[in-house]
Amino acid sequence: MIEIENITKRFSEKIAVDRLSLTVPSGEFFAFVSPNGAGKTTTIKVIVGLLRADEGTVRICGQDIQKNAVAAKALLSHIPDQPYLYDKLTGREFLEFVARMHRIEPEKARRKVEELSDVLGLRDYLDDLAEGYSHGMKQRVVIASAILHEPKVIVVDEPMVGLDPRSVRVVKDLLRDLSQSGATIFMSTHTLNVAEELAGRIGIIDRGRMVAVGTADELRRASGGAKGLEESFLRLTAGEE
Amino acid sequence: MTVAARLMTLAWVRAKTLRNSLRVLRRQSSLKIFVILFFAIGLWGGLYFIFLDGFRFLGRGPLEDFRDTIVQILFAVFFLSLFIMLTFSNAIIAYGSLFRSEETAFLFARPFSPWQIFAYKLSETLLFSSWAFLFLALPLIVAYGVSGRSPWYFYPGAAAFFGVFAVIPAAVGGGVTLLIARFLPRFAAENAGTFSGDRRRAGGGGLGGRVPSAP
Repeated sequence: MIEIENITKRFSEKIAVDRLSLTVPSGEFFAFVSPNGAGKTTTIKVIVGLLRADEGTVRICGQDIQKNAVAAKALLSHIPDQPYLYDKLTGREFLEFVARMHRIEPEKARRKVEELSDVLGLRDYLDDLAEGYSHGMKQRVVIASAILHEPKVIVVDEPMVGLDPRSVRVVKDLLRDLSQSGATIFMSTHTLNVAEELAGRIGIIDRGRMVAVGTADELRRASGGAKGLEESFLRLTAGEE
Repeated sequence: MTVAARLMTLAWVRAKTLRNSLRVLRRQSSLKIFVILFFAIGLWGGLYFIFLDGFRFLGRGPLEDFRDTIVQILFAVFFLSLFIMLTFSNAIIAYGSLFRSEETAFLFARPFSPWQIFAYKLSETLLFSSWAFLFLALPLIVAYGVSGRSPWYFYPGAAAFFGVFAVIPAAVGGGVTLLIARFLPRFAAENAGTFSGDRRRAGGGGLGGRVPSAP
């Protein structure tokens, strides 16, 4: 569960996030869409504890991300848009590192790595150094590392960027399965059809403010009967792009 | 998970990357490795014999009575110069390591406390900045020991001294970097506020936030 209460984040005079409040209950798949520069990435960085809000609080399964940062971060996973791996580690060693930091039993970690290798198609390159990976290969390893410790909350920033169509399908199925098994998924994306396909609710943020939250149908109604999510988005964020 | 266990996990990843780097190096051209080793050993050996000749020169003729005083002054100047250079070197490397590194941001989203990440990064800075110091200082101290016919325990004792000596400029350099990030946050950019304790820049709590390059 993610509880965001009235968070505000400023950069000098610019307000990146403006009194944003939102609760994403356990097991919900929530998508977050916005025009460029509207505060989406800043919000994600506040949620995962990379940035501290000037005002307001974020709780992950009841743990304050700033006051109990280590406990909160043990419950969540962050999949950034730019995957980071250690160039001089193999994919398998990177996953072992993540398993160690989350104190997963070595045997359980090995089983889980094998399982995820099959699901995400990592087997062909998992024992190569990451310096030779493409963006898509890195992204798949990072996704594997993010779900290795079975987090209760997964925050995903543009997960489909750089993935081939088959991998996109695999990642979508994986995220949907995780959500159905009780994990809270908070996904930021520019791809509206992905948001509509996967998410139970969609939030639209514009100029740092949450302008609409709801199911795709609710957003259509809120935008005055738009035909699809794209039109709803354009109407609700009119004047921005 | 205890602090020691978390630091061990970070040390484990560094050991793995070092081992893999050495493996990659072994697969590279033998000529390249030979040339690097040849010049490194040549430089080390050259320095050793220059220092040895210098100490022997001081130990004979009219300078013999002043040898200890001169050596004391030489060592003081040498180590003071190295200390200043190492402080700058550590500050520059710590800046890159703490405030410009993608790894720091990666670790911050994981269950590590800021102080654990800082300790890990400081030890990395110490290793990166101090290997050249050891490379330059070892021939000097070995030549001094040989010229003075020092007992065997002089050498491990000197090595321990170097280890302790290298920590001081690393800590000063790390401190200087934090002060720069604290008072000149725009200069420090990426992770400023995270380590520096700048409440305004980090957004309120010092050791806990990360400032991105753009909102």
